[in-house]
Amino acid sequence: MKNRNTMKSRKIAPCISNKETHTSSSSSSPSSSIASSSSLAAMDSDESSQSEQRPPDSAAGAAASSRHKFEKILTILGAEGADESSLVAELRNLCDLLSFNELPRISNEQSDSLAVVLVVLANYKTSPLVMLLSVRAMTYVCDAAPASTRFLVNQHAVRALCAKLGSIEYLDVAEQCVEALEKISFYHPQACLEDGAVMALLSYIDFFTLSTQRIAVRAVVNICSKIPASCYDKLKDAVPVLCNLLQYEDQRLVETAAICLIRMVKQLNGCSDLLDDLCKHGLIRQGLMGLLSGLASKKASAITTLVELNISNTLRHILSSNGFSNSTHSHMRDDLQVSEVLKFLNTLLPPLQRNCDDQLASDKNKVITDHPEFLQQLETDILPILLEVASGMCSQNDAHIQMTALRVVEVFLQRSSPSLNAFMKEGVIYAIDAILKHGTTRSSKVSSSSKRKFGADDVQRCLCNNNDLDSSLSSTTGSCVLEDDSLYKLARHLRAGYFAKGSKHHKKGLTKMIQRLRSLSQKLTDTLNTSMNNVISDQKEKQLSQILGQIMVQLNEYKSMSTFEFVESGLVQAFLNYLLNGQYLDGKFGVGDLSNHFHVIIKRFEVFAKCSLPNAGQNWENQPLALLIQRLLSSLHSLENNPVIVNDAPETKKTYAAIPTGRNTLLPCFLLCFVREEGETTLREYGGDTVTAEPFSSLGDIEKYLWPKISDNCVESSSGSTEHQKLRLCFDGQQLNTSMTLYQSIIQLQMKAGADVIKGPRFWNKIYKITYGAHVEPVLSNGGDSHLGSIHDIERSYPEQFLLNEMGFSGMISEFHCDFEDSSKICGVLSLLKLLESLNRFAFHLMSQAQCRAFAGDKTVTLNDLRNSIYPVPQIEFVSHKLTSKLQQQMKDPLAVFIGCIPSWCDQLLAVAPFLFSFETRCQYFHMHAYSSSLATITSLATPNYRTLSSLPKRRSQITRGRILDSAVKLFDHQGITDAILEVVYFGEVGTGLGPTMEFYTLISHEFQKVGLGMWRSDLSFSTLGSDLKVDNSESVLAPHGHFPRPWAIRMSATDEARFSEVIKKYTLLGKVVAKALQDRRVLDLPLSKAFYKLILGKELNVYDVHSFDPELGRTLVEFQSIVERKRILESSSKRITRSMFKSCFRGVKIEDLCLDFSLPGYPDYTLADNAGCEEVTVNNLDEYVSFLVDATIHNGISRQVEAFKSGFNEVFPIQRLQIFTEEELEHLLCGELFAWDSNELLNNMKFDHGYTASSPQIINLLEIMQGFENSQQRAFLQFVTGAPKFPVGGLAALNPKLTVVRKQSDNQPDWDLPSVMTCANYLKLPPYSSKEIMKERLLLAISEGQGSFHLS
Amino acid sequence: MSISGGSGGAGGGSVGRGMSWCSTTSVSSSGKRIQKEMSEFGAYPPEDCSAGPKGDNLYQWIAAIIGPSGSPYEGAIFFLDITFPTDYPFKPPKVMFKTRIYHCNVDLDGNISLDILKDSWRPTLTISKVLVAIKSMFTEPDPYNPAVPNVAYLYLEDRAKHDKIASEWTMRFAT
Repeated sequence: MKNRNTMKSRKIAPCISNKETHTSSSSSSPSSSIASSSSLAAMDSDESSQSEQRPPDSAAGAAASSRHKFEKILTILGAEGADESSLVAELRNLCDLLSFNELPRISNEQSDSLAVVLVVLANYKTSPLVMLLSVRAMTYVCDAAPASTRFLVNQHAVRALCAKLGSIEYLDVAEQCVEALEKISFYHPQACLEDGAVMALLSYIDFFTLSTQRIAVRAVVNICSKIPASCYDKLKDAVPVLCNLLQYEDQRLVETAAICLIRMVKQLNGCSDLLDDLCKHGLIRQGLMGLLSGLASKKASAITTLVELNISNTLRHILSSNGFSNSTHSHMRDDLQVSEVLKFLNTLLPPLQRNCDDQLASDKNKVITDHPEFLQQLETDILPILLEVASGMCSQNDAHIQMTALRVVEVFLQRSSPSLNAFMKEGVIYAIDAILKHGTTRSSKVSSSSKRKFGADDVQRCLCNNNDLDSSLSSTTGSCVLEDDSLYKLARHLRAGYFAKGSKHHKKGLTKMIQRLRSLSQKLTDTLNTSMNNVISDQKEKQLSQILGQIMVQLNEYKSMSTFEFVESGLVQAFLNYLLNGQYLDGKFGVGDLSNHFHVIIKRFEVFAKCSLPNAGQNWENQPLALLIQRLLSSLHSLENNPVIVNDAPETKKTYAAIPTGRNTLLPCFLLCFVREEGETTLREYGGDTVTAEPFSSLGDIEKYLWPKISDNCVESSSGSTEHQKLRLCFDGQQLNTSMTLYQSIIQLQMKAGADVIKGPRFWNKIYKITYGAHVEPVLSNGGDSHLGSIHDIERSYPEQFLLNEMGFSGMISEFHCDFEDSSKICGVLSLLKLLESLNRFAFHLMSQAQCRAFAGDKTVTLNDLRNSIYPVPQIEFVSHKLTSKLQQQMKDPLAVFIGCIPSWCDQLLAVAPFLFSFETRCQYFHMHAYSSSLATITSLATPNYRTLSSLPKRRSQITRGRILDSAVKLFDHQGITDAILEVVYFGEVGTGLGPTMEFYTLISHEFQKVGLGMWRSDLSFSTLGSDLKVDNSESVLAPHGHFPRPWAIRMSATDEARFSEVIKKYTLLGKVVAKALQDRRVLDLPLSKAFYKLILGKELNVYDVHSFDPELGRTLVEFQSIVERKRILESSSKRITRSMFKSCFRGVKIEDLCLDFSLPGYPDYTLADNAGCEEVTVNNLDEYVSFLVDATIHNGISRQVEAFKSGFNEVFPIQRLQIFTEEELEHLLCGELFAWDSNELLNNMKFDHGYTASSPQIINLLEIMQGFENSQQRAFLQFVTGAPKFPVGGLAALNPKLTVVRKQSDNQPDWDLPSVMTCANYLKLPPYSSKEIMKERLLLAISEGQGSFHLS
Repeated sequence: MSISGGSGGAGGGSVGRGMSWCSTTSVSSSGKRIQKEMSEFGAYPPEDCSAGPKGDNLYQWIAAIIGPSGSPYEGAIFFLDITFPTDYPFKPPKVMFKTRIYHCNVDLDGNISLDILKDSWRPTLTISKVLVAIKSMFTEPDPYNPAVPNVAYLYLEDRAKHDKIASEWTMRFAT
């Protein structure tokens, strides 16, 4: 009802804001109108309950009065020569009456006369307002009294509306016409079709707003529901328009247009004209393969057309752009789409022996024989790709897809004689063999399970029926036509018939390439195994690196290597063994005691980096590492088949959910019933009924609910260890994983059980039986924990440790989705990708380390050689387009949108290998989880479509401008700050909304940088001569490389102790502010160093990281380190080590002469505890000095501050969530971006309104001025207009609301006026200045003066 | 803030903005190092150079260089301010000309573009080596790494004119 109100108040003058509300109302109203009309057979119980919510026509008196009103309106409207104003008034009244659903039951005569009147008035040429209102009244009539639509049609309303649309005089009238037609077409499609409504709707579609476009296409869909065969000429012109619509950006529009086409095809079965048109307009490119195969299955002439249209080229385009090759195309290969292509080929090509008497088949045969070039072309164009796809398909579990793929292979084999090599290369033979192998053992199982999953649950999923375009519409209970062992038979037939001859290797289905690579990787492994002790033998390492070099050469040379060859070559395993020194097994790192292998492993990484990374001046593109990554990604793509699980839009039904919090929710819930495990004696029987649980509940939540009901000693437990797991929960005999949500667990277990996860009502209505038993703490093998501990202990002494820590040796990968058939392959590929990613990211560290070692071992190397120039492969090369698009699809799922429920593979992959996903996707994932789930559900009530920031609850807090930090401390002490968007107002100022809030973040970031806080290191060499003795505590810290925590000694004086506790408090606050800014997507103006971001992300720093925030200190430390190493090596090799050898080791100077002592440079109070600051640094204690400096600078000196930061952060949300980002990305998220503006971008992302257009001279001037801004001016301008000096991630385009420039009306001379802003709306009010110079001058004055307060303007 | 140039002078805390937190009670290693350089400088001063603390602050020095013969700066005395950072010798000292000079590597404010005062600084360098380097700058300017591009251009294109202006400036400001 609310929607109607806004509709009513819509003004005729185009007004942007009104249009917005209009959009949402018009898109939702048709569905409700459909529901209310009882013509639909399928009526759900909820919908009837929904209709109850409509205000009942209760009082008889009210009905009578409205009837009276209606009659009055009718007579006035019908009267001849009524003047315009009274017409308008009465039409308004009529619309009100209709829209409030107060229309009394009207007789047929009345409806008829109403229709007459409305049609007449719709042609009331002199007043657009009258036209608009009368058409609107028509629209409402259709809603309010569907029965009277008939009269409208009889009175040729459709023709009138079409005429309106055709003349397109007034845009809002036309849009209203579209709406009216959409309603009418629902009831009378045929009438609309005959009156030419289709073209009327479509011909000017580009003029409409998006929402109207959608309505228009929906109207066409309605019309297409019934097309008599003779009417094609009415639709003929619509086909190109619809095909064109398929290329539009809007998903919904495209879908609707596709439905139109599908309906046309269905209705005009086999109309060859239609087919021609479709093909001409490049329909195939749109991926509507199903449509085509539907066509082709019906008529031979269609096939001829297709062949003539060079279909093979198009198919190749589809396959290759979507193929495994991780191409840059945005399209993603969808398994479904590929199987569609296969099916299409199957229908296109004549069948073989089977059904040869079929008329259609012989027709097809004829076509093929008539066009021999077609098959040839197919062969050259798509065979390789096709085979790659086919082999991928063959290895899938779906018997239907396997069948289709095999059939295509068979056709090719029979029709032509392609070289068997291609089949081998792409692994077709291998895949067939696999089918055969499984076939004997599993054939019955596979088919029965597939039978079960298709037969029982959703018939239309069975691909056999997919040739019927509308199988999802028709509910025929077709059964699976696939016989149990037909697949096996076909496979055996192929194997015996075509691949039997040839050499031994041919028989195995292995190419020469595989054999060569296999032998090389075998050699690598063998050499590794010769002596598995942990001593680095130089000779062995040399041998190994030689073999590695050979492999790299092979990889480089054979560009045509197929994914299958790569996977089967065993290279992945060999590389893993090499890199981890044999410490890799089935997705787990560190089978044995990894710490013993550190040196070997680091050395291997160095060697690997050296021979795979590009050197200076070389392009990374053709370097081994980049190629290897590509191969690994395509292997991953062909191996993984994690399902994207999409729910239907959830029904909004109010249910009470007992778990986790016990409240009402509108989202679907699971029904659980609890059963005690057999043999369980310590716990009581659960007597209760079924329980509803929200999908995002964790197992802990269930336990919390269940425990008091089944345990005798609940009192004791509530006080004691609450975090301890007490119950073991099982579903279907499988123990549930405590780290997953209920939703994830159930989905995963269903997938394990082999069922296709389809989530219809069945999924939600089922009762899930959960068995419980007492939890028994598994006896931990001692090895795991102790070795983790040991890693940590030696962390400090060996800088190499960082790598092992970084690479997540904790065996996370081993947990990854091990219910694949060849999970070990996937785990291997993932592990290697992860290692390579670390290697790439740590290239600088690795190379520094290598050089340090080179210096230590070789006297000819000097300290000046310790420079390194490493050009790592760009991070984006690691992004898997397939997985990214899968995750994106998954996140569009309603459940994901509302409460962040996604299958567990997404979470796992993101935790293990975030680099596989694009930054944007990870941002989306991050924001999906940014607020707690309970909050999400609340907000989902407010916005049924998408969760947006604006819909979240807001919390307004007051801040004192002068004492921002103190106010902020108080602000964050309030409860509930984490569950709402923070909004700030300043004491004594009236401004509210976005602007002051953004300014708050900017101001507080400046506050944090004040020298007096003692938080950060400061670049002391930047101090100028002028400010000699005076110390200004309110100045900002100078840190050209970004802020890094200032070290504080462990032991300090009492005064320092007090100061330090303040520092800790500030870090806690900073943690909260940073977390809140990330959560609310605000931008801070706080340049933090890369190293500090690393700490936030939970990574360990080492000596090579000092370089990133203090290059001078970092460089010297690395040089000292190298000297220490050299000394160590010399001491170990020769016994006679004399002091003289190191007399002038540091660039010709004795270490002693540097006059260093054991205190921290720049922080003389920070001394090494034992030495009390008196001992001089010499070459003999240099190692101690280095580790002291490193410890103070990046470990113990700052660890308490970092911990405080983290604890503050964790109060808002868990800091671990950030770990899907890299340092650079985190900076990007937190600080936004600043870049030069170009005019196109400005034009595209700004709005001009209320007196300005993009071509107004003032706007042209403004854009020129904005482009000419210097960095500082740009910042000031942004701060002035938006409140923050930087854009959020995504730049100007991401600014919401858009930056809008409006004309500022002024009474006196505009040149004297200043521009003003509304920061909350990103509005710039610009007076119409007479010249560019004056504008610039005034603008700069405003942006420099106007900062720092919010007053009404 | 009482720091004597003599022995036992306290270290940091005096210079720069970030130093409010530094205590003046202990002897910092930078202080010791500067003292050592001071005594070495006293013992073996480089030719035509002199340097020492300005007042009682160990971290603020003043230096003078006599323009080498054969250069347009011949015979004149150029004064320089030296500021040591508290993390000296890990960071380079800040050296600025106080006397105006026409030189392509010194800008109008007296900032010097010299690699050893920036990226090429090493803790092994001393103030004496720095002054020697600056002195050699008088005879061999580095026009390819200029602080004042115009002067560098003139130096390369019209050496005679450059030298003439340079000696005029020297006459005007440094003698």
